[in-house]
Amino acid sequence: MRGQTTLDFATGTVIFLLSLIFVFSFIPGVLQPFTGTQQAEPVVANRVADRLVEGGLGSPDRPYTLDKTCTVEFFDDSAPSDCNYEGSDLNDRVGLTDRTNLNITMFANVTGDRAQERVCWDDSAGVLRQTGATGCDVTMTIGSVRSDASSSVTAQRVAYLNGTAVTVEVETW
Amino acid sequence: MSRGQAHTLEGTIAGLLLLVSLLVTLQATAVTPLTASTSSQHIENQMANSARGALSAAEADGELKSAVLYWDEVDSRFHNTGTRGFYTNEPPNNAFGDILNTTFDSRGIAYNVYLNYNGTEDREPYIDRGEPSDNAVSVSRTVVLVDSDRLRTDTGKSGSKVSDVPNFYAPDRGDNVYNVVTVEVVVWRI
Repeated sequence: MRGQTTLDFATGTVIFLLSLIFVFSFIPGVLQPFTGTQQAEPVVANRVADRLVEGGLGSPDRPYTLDKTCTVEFFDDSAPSDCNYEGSDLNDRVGLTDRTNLNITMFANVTGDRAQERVCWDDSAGVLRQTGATGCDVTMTIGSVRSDASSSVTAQRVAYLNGTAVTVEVETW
Repeated sequence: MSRGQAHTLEGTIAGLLLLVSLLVTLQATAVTPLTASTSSQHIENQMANSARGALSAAEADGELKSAVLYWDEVDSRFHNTGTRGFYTNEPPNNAFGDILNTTFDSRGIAYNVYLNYNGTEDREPYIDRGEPSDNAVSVSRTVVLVDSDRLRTDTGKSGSKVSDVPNFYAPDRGDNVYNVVTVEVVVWRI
């Protein structure tokens, strides 16, 4: 029976090496959610969104309730002195370095159907309208436009503005 | 078995040892790309915060209270709910229902709404869309009802005083305060 020793050694080594290779190729996948540079992005998007709806666009004593003037001015790319944000550009106002790209868009249901659509502000009537409708003064979108190729992280918050529920979407990349 | 298979056996055991340690590692890490889930922590955060915002938006206008008082005193159930007594497919025809509808329905998110109140361990289902998944998140908000609050008719107008309606779901628990209702919204991705 000792004649099978060589074959036996080969089989044993192959089995061991196969499992070793499997384990080594598997471990990076297990650790992947905890490593990598992408990990910081959800935190950034969430923090910007939280900061805006829980105080930045309104006041911290009434979180999720947005102030009309401050919100419209924010999307109009200016910073009035009595609002809870300041700075010369968008990244400054939300507290980000210039290396992070972001886009902030507001959605609301103004047409009466079931979906929420992008909205703009009508200064003279004091209401939200669907983007592109007549009477639009300030489009409730600010930031750069993301190219299709890059990956991004989106954070959504629901808030109350001028009598309706609006969704604020913050996209960072 | 003679010595002929000793090396195969050794190789198999060593391999098993490696696999078992891998299994232990997998169990020790909370979330891996292989975890069976319809959701992720990031999405759960978004849903919880959206629900919190929706409740705040409803409360800002006092619509949350109206929703809690949207009770049909004649049939002893919420308005237009049929024999079940709670909403299933269609949200209630009030501002709170509209907010939930536009916020969640259009994004493919399902939600249940329960009303918890003093006087019982049970909770009153308000909107029931089925069994929440394992990745559901729950957010709640408290509404205080006083004796002089009025029920809402199905068109949203004021009806009888809540303290005069014997078949209202929550019992009278105090002098001026009628009861405290906690509105619980459970949201999950479908």
